[in-house]
Amino acid sequence: MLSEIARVEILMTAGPMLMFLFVLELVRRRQLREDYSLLWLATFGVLALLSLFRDSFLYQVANLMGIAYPPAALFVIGFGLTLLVLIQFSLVITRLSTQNKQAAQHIALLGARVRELERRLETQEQK
Amino acid sequence: MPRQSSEIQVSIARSGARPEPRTLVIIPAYNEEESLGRVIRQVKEAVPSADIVVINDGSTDATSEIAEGYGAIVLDLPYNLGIGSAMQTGFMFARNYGYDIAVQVDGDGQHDPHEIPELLAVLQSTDADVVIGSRYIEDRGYITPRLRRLGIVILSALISLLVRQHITDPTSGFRALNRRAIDFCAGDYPFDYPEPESVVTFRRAGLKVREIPVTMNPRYGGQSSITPLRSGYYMIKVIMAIIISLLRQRPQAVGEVYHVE
Repeated sequence: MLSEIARVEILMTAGPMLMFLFVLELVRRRQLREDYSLLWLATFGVLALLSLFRDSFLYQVANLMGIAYPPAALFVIGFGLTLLVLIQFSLVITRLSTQNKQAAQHIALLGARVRELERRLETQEQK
Repeated sequence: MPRQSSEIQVSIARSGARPEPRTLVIIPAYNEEESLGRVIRQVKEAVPSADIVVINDGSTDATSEIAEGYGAIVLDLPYNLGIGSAMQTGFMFARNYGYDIAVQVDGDGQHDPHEIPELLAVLQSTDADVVIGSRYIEDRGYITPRLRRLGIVILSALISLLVRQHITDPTSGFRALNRRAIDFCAGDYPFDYPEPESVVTFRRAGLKVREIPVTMNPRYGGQSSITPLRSGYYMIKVIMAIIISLLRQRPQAVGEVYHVE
């Protein structure tokens, strides 16, 4: 059995890498659009790099942030990036609901117009 | 569907006389089958020359059929969008077909259609772009539950302060608008709980608002959408929307207005 340190290091490095590849695969299969995948790829990419180069990279970043326990910096950064993804979702939902509203309004206006045209056509045919 | 009166208007304009303003009464309705027929009938009595459009906001009852049966134009929204977006659909209709005046009357029977001519008279004889029927200018026996009254007092104090004009009933949906205001609302209108916020954006767009006293009834039938939880959400949403609307770029209302000479 590997030591605790070794296990967590493997988990923290391999996890983000696998997720990164998973997101790429979703884009390849066209189940996820490129523009919505970018923030996810950045999130997992940053987490993977930080874990991979912890001596040079993670420790320095943690130091810069004033975090005494370097692995905690991973959580803070991962959480911050996840929040960005969530804000992006809210933006996309807002845009979709605005477009959805406009589409519904046009359907209603067109529906009334179609009925009116049908009615005029009928009266014309009767003449 | 509206009369195609543009050619008629041109010929009257050439002969020197001004044509009657084309008026559209917009009735937003969500599951109002119990009261809607009566409202449409009363609107026809009060303003026989006006066209009536019912915006069926995704009702699950017979609202659409009843509106059709009473001879209104019906705009069926495919699903419920909320009162603001429903009204905006009505304003878009008014703009697309060149109406001079739009009147908003609720489908639940709260507003008395026989007071529409008073709204129209004030709209046409003053410099107002929007005339709002207010429950609270004169005491005509309308009883508001205490908590709701408190909410309305807070809103009207806030809005009066912001628009520097005493507004007594900013939540009233009994309104008449001229063409400038119609165009403005067709382009930009809040999606839900639109009334208080729109008073502020009207002012910012340079549209003049005037209130006149009206009598309001308790609703004839159907379900009020107001619950305590929603009232809380209403207050927070409306106040936030008003404050944020102040941070936006000043909107512009343009266009000509029909006036009685």
